[in-house]
Amino acid sequence: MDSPRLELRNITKIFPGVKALTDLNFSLRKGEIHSLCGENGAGKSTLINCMIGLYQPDGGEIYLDGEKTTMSSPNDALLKGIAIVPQELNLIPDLTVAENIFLGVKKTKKGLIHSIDWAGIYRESEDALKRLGIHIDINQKVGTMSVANQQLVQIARAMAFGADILILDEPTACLTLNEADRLLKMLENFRDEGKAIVYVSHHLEEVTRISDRVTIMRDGRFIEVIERQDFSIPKIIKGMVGRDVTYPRIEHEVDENAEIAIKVEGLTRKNEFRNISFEIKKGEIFGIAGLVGAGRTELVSSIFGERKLDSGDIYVFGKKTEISSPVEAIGLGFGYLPEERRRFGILPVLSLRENMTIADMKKIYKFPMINRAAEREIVDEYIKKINIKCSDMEQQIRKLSGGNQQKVILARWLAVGAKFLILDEPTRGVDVNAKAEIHQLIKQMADAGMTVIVVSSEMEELLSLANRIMIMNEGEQKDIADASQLTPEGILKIALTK
Amino acid sequence: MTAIRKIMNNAKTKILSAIANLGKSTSAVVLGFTIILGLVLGIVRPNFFTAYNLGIIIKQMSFFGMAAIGQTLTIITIGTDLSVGAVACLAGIIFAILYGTMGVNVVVAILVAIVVCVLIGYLNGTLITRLGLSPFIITLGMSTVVQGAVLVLTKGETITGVKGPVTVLGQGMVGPIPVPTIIFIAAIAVWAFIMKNMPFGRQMFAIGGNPAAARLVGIKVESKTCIIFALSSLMASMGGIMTACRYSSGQPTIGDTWNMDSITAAVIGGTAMSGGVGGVIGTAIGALLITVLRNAIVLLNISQYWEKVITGGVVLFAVSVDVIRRKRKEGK
Repeated sequence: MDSPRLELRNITKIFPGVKALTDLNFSLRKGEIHSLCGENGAGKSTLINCMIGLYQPDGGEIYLDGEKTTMSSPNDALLKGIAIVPQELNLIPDLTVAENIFLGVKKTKKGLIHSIDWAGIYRESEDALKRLGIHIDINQKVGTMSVANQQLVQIARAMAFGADILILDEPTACLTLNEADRLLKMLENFRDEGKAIVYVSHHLEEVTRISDRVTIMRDGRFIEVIERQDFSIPKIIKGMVGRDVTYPRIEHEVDENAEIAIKVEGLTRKNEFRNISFEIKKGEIFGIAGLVGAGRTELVSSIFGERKLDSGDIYVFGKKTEISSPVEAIGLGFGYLPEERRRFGILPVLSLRENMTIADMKKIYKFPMINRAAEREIVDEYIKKINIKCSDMEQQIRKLSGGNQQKVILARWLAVGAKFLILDEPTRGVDVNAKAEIHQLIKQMADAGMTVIVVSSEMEELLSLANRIMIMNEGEQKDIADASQLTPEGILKIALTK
Repeated sequence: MTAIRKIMNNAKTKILSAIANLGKSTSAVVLGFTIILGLVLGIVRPNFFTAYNLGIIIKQMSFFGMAAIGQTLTIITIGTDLSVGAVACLAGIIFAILYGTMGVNVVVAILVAIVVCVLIGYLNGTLITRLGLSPFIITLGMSTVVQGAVLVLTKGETITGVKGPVTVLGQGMVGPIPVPTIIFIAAIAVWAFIMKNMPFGRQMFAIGGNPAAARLVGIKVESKTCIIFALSSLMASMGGIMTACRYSSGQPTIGDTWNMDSITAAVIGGTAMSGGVGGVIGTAIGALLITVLRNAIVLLNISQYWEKVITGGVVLFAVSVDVIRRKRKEGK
């Protein structure tokens, strides 16, 4: 068999502070659908971005049809025949289908003035769509079309450039079953015509349906490649999940007779999550697991009042409560550590001290002045208690490391005396030592009577911390189970199978 | 003995580090630049250093300086307030009409003028938060509406009749210091205090630095924004009333230059257009620089027409220097 169409050998990619890809191998044959599977953070997006020239690998080589090459930019990759249909579509909503297909391409008439050859553009757009068997009006504005059709336009664009290597990133996440089916059939046709397709997806039934091979990634490394005859969903899940590192099980008992602190019933928000219901006892650590797109962040930020619920009820200590803004949530005793610390958690220009005390200054403010001495005392207390590493409390918070920033935000809610804490990815981007410290801190807070909800993509973290774990997938509640009865594989299996 | 030595050492360290920090502060650099400019000017034109001339400088900066304070507040929090000039003008006109023409009690006249302007500012804030449009557009539109109101009320003519003890607000002197300057400095002191020592001040910087995060810590971003714009109009209206007292009349033309001047003063003084950073003391220094420049143009007999070129040039220079310094600080 002649050389693979695309081959990535020993690819390494390093970002400041994190090694995203280590010594990774991937090869793609002509006339093949090759799927890429891995958990959140496995490095799939990074790998794909290296394939299309958005990132430059720090180590390793890329071979196109056996010849060593570099992808200097997505445009360069496109000219070499590699096109991507990204998860977030790259179309301009106010332009028409034809304009989007030819975006960035110079198609001009010959002659004195090189005006745009609109006739040519319309003709070729129609052809591209026809060849794909798609019936869409080329003059329709892309923004008014369904996601499924937008995706088809994106594919038509790739084809119009003559791409014969197509990369699709989570293409069926937003499609109905029929639309997904249509797409999969189209991909199988491409494959039969000799095109090569990289298919990134969590939908394991689709993966096993159309792929010829599956490459499994974990923690930025190549784990294994499975041929079609050996496919099975449990096997793929096992490859995605099996780990060497485990966190020590943090023992945390919940009082059998503790009252129900938080109860939610039928929480729904259109296109994000539906019909979520659970009860949490006071002092319990309640984990929420799921893959990207499960709707976990959307769910917990709705409980905090940051988003509006379409329907459903929230009960705090048995009393039905409307939480329509963060101000109300905080008044009820909620605290929130948002997922994206830099965007939503810290007040970047303010100091560590100011960040810690911002949620409630009642203790330190008596008209007309903030009592600086009292403030410093409180901040000092927490710096010592939770071991925040800083040169002094006046440091701008953005100069602190990620782990220490998280500690400041946690201290913020401790200082306020929050009763219910919602933590979204509390140890993301945090070094190993700080992670362990934060885990201990969470346990101490729960021991002291705080009710904690932890959302995390790291299943080991949840298994080590939580009493019970709710598993979500694509907006649905799959199951709630005792952490002691779950394993990482078990969680993924519950999430990804019906 | 050792206790005293410790205290002295402490003080020495504090003073030295304060001086070292000054070099990092934009407003200190600008103040230094202004002082040097003044010294050079004084050498070339000795009458720069007369009590009369210096008095004029600190007096002139105090009127638009009030509006510049308000501008600082809004820029730090969310964006520019382009209605300060028109609001100041309206305040002066309402005050002049009520007190000068209609003989209303002077205190009532002042209060009515201020209240009307505060409501206009609050309306600015409401439109900005409800419609989600940029402050630039909303305040620009409001500015035009208010200018129109001024024309309706005055038909383009000066409203005379502002006389009596109230004119001290614009014309009085306490020794060598003009009363408007005392008012301005008092306002600076109050606002500097609020921004440093009161939760409201911190919340302003929180909103300015990251409104999304501010909301998530329980700050009522929308209502605070409305209040900030109301306060900006409050400051502008005070400046307008002071001006009416200065000229003993309500003039429909004042405030024209106040928009640009207030923004310039704030930016030169270290308030970043991107928000979240800044202070009123820096703005006062910026206002001082602008006024000294204008003074220089007069003293040096430079044609009035060059004034805009020079002031504008200084603004561009100051802003560029500031951006470069900031970028270098962040190691870009």
